[in-house]
Amino acid sequence: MARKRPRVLTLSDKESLILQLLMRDGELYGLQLVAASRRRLKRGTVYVTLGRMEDKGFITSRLEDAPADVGGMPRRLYQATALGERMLAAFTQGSPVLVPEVAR
Amino acid sequence: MTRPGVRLRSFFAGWCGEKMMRQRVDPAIADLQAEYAEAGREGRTWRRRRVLVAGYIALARLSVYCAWQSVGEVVREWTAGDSRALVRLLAACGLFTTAIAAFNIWNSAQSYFALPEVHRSVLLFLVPSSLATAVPLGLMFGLLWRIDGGASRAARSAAVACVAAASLVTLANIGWITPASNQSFRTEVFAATGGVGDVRKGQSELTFSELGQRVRAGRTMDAGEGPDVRIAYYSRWALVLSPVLLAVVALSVRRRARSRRMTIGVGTMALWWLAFMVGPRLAQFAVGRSM
Repeated sequence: MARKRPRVLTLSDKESLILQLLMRDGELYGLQLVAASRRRLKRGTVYVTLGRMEDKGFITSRLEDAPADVGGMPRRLYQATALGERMLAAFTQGSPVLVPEVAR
Repeated sequence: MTRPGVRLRSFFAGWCGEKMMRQRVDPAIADLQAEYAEAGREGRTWRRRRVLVAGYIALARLSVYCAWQSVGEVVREWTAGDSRALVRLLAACGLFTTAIAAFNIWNSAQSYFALPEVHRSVLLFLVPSSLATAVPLGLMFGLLWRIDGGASRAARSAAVACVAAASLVTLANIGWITPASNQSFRTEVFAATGGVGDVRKGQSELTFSELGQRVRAGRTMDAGEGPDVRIAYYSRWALVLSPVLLAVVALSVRRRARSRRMTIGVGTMALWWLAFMVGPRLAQFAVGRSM
């Protein structure tokens, strides 16, 4: 029986930026990522990117307990996984070799 | 303190799947609520308002993405139950669309009934233009009639499919079909009433591409062509988007009683007609003043 080929994983610029921020600051909320990115990430679509990264296995998330004093919905915290860290390292080190124009 | 996004979450829950709610919608609303509460604790009223506006704009962008994803999910996960729900919803939308289209045709054809030279079959050319407004309104009334607070997943899937189909039908109809049928109608009536030669196309007989070319070429006011072509062009695009907007209205009131939903639908229809009647005139006035 032929072995199933592993799916090729990709890393977009926004995903790379999110991983850099999470590795630098640990666990962050979506809005904290937007603020830390200096508006390179957009408020509405950051959650779309985070959801996609979670599906790929680059990040994990957990629900924080709902705030007791003011109520409201529990917020979601995001954290880079070991796979995400390896992907970032591979793209950071490998892309200047594959596409030298990127390094300039 | 009232928490923002509660009603919006209920609206999203009506047509988004569980994964989309968990990964995209709930985190966005939770962050908005937290930021809003923090601004309230600090006593910064204007910051609270800015946070609210920015948060709702972000949710509006997210809704466009979620709508697109919903269509994809509906197609991938289609079941026999969805087909039955779709048939029932299409029947309701079809009835309302037919009634509105019939009224439109009767209204448009009044002046031609008095002309004995014009054969009644020519009035068939008025059908596409009557559907331009009948399809979006028929969709809205069909959704108001069939989709309520307890609608099943199948019914919601059918609603998404109907909205997508109505938008595509409206795009094809007013972009290309209606201009061609309008021109055919004018040519037939002109010939039947003794006219000789070709009938020059007016703005209503230009396709999307032809109107777009004129807008890009900067041909605005053109003698004999009536209102600014830009107004005609963007009005048509507004009509293409109207099935989505009217569906949003219909789905946002689904938890109310049917009689109340239909009343809201009639009110929305009146506002919609007003917008399409008055809007281009206001725009024409503004363009006239700026030239």
